Amino acid sequence: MVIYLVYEILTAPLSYYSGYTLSHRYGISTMSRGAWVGDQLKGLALGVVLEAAVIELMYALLAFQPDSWWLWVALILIFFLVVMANLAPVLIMPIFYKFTPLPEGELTERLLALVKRANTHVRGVFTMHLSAKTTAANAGLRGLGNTRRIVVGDTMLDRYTTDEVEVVIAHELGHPVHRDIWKLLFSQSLLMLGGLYLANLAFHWVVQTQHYYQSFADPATLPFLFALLGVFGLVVMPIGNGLSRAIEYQADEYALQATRKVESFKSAMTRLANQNLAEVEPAPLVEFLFHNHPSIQKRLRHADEFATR
Amino acid sequence: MDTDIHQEQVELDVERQHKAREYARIGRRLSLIGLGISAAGVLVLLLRPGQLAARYPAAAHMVGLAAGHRLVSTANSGLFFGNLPGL
Repeated sequence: MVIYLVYEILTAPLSYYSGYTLSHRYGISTMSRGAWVGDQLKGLALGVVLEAAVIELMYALLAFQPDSWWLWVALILIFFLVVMANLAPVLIMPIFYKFTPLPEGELTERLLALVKRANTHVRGVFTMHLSAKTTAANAGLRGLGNTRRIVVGDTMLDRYTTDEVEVVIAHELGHPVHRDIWKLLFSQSLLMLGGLYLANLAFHWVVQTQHYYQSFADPATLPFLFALLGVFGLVVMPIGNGLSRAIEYQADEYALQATRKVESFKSAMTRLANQNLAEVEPAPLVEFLFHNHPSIQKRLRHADEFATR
Repeated sequence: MDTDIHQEQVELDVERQHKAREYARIGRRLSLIGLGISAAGVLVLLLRPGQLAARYPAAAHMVGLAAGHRLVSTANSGLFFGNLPGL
């Protein structure tokens, strides 16, 4: 417990600086210190509960199924991912943000018409009260299956034209049209299976050949397991980001085709860059490694190309 | 509900782009520092697993939980709770 506290104290200044000080200095955060700490505590409590459950499950399987634990863990986590994607907008997100139904009017009607045109369904259109925490704008589809809904940040509603919000939501609707959620779940499942299988091989090597640990379920193996998964995650991160960028490009294409509003698309992207302090043209290597969306420069170029077709 | 904002020519704010590059650069550096701290914590535990597990099994468990969480989340691997499509 002492080591745990020392670790938390050591890393707390970094969390505070990056999460509170820096975002205030650049005008991104609107949260008070107390509200920020409150959110951190809520996140920590939620993370500890969920991660502890996953880790206990993993070590129970390591103890009783030392050869096939990785497969069971992957299957359970995939199921957990789907359930969490379904429950997030009704159970998790309201812990951090306030949501209210978007009042009836032209915007709501146009967004619901887009949903109909996309031949999909949503549980409604909601305002997400982002301004209590940030100046940045955001919008999207949240949830999976019977919980899926359109969410538009109030930081977008008060600064963007109806056409701009419409084209942004058309982009989001491109994801269910192209079945992107399932594509991403499938690709993440494959990565998870690969990562856990490699961890299994390494586990067997260190326990049976090198005798570094007493058994597979030895709690001292936990840092080793996380180091393996962390390194694996870093190595495959550009692959996941590359797939995500390709999916986002297709969603942009859908938004342009569905609305034919090239100028609104471009002005929405430019407003987002200005408002969210997004780098319009990051270095190619930075984009390749870290960005899960195409750069705004590429998205603007895409819109220009679309206009000339 | 309708937005009252009218379509106008929206220009990229050069000054904000300068700030955006700076903000992104600092963010990346902080992520690297976080990753380094987490990796160091994990390495310390890796180098003395038997001793630690024998004497402080609960502590080893908790530190592993914390360090691993930081390492995995910093790596943003998307292995367990990865990003679903956003804007």
